[in-house]
Amino acid sequence: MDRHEQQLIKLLDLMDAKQIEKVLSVVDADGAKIVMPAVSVARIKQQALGHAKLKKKSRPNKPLAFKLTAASLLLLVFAVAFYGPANTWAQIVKALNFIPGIGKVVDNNKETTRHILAQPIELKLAESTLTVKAISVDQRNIMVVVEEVGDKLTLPTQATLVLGEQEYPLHRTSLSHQQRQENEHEAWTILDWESYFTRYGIVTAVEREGLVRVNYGEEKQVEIPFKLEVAANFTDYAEMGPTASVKGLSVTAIPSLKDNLLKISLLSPPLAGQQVRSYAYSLETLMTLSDQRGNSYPLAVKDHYSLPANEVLFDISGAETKQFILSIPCIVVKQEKEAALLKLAIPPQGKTIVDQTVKLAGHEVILHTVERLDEKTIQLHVTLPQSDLARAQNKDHLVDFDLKDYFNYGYGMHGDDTGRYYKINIPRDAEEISLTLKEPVLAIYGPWEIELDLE
Amino acid sequence: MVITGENVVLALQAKRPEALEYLINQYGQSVYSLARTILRSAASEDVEECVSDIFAAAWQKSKEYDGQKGTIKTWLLMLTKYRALDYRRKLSTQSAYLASDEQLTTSLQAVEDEVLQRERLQLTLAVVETFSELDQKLFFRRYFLQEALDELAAAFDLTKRAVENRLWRCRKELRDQLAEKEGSSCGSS
Repeated sequence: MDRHEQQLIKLLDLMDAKQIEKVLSVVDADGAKIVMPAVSVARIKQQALGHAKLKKKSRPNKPLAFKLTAASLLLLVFAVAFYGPANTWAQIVKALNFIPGIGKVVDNNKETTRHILAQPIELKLAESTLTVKAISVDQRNIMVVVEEVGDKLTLPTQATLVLGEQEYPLHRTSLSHQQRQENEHEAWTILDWESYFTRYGIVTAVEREGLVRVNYGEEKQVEIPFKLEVAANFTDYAEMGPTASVKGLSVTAIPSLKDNLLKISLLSPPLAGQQVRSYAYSLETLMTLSDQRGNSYPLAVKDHYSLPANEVLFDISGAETKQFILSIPCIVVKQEKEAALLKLAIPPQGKTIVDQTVKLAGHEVILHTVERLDEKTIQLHVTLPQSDLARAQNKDHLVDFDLKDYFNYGYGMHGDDTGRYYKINIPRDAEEISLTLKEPVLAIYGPWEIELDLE
Repeated sequence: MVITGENVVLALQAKRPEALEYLINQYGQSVYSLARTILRSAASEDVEECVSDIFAAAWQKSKEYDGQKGTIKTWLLMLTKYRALDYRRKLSTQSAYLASDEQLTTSLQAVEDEVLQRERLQLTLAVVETFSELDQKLFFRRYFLQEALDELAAAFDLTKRAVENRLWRCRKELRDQLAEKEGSSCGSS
């Protein structure tokens, strides 16, 4: 095949499912439509599912008491709206090291008085529920997080915080939403959105009572009144809540109970040169909750969790104790000061084998090949050590790193998730370049076990 | 947990077998149809094995799925294409096919500007639609299903030379029409 033919193959690989099916109908236009025989369906299911079940870790049976009733299902739906372990919110909480409704750890009382919303406020609208999840106001900053859950929603365009007679227009710092399409012919509809509004500047008078006004274009607005409380300041993390420390990494857990749902918020003290990225490596390594009798409690609304997993909900209905043990199997940390420098020879054209191993933060990165794509671009193929194997053995492993000067990268299809390709800009016709692998992200295994007492 | 189109990816990544069953129920027919088309001369047991292998691969590689790049169905169909091509290569003595996982990734990564490439794909498909029915079949079986020239010649009762000539004319027509369309779209912008 010549170059043009190979380009055609690459181009046709970009077809989406609809286009592929159209092509198949062209190819088989004169043949009968291929139908999968029922017996094949059964055999394929048996083989593929057999494979899946073999690979799946066994899970303890849930105690009968925790089987969901219709009532608790309703409660869980409510919990999504009420607490919403959504990603944006979790990121904000983690970045500020601030526990909503509780407060934050301050350094030598430098913190000015902060007013916060003690509990989220819900407003039932005709076809949705609008929730002010958090408000934090001090003399310099305003932070408001609002969420709406329903069907066929409109996204907010603006929000204003009204404190006494003073109005503070807020900047929409982030907006995330989920949408659904019933079928390919229907339009997408918005099911929920979450927005983080901020304002930086002098707040002249912090009144405790006020309202949040959410605007949807020029036509529609909704107002939600609130009352703020003074946030508690803590001198250290252990004062804020029970804390565990493993391998120099501390985690503080703040429990709060609403009905049968135990919400746990996690935070860690800042460490020089390190940054906690998440409190799990994957959904499989999410924290677990048990009691002294060995009963384990399921995560509520499990489908909604995403990293950094610093807020989780456990369903503790039926529990006969108020003492629990939270176990966090893995924490992912970025090491900001670690780096590895190496020289890389660039082939004049085509691909050459490098086969070089580099140590980054004590972990191996294997450089396999370097390929010149054109006079200013190369593609580097690297793998990280087998994370599945390391995870199975609870060994700390490298998850990711940053590469100076790369402009694009993708994951390889090697049967594992460790291969990646980096495209790197190089000086025109360079024969050798210096590469800096930096800021490794490591999965560190504990477990961190924290005793929680709800008494 | 009830698996739906909205939570299937997350459930698959969380290694829940019911998510895999959902995928088989929803997309098994499409996957089978593409695998059967690529493995047209293979025994049905081989096709079944290939299809179950594809779903097992989807289970293992679920974390590689990137929703921003396409639907789960498209991802499954691309897995199908390359897994079936591998099967075909193993089942036959020929080794002229391009397919291998690494080459797929490299070629995809080598696409310089995906947005531009997708526009080019749209134009290409529009031009191919203007070809005769026979040429469309030859074109897609050669460049999408990557069938060998000998196989195409046998399937359509043509000489190998005739297949080559027809494909050459298709490519020339495609090049000319793309140059015209892309030229006019550049000119109008």
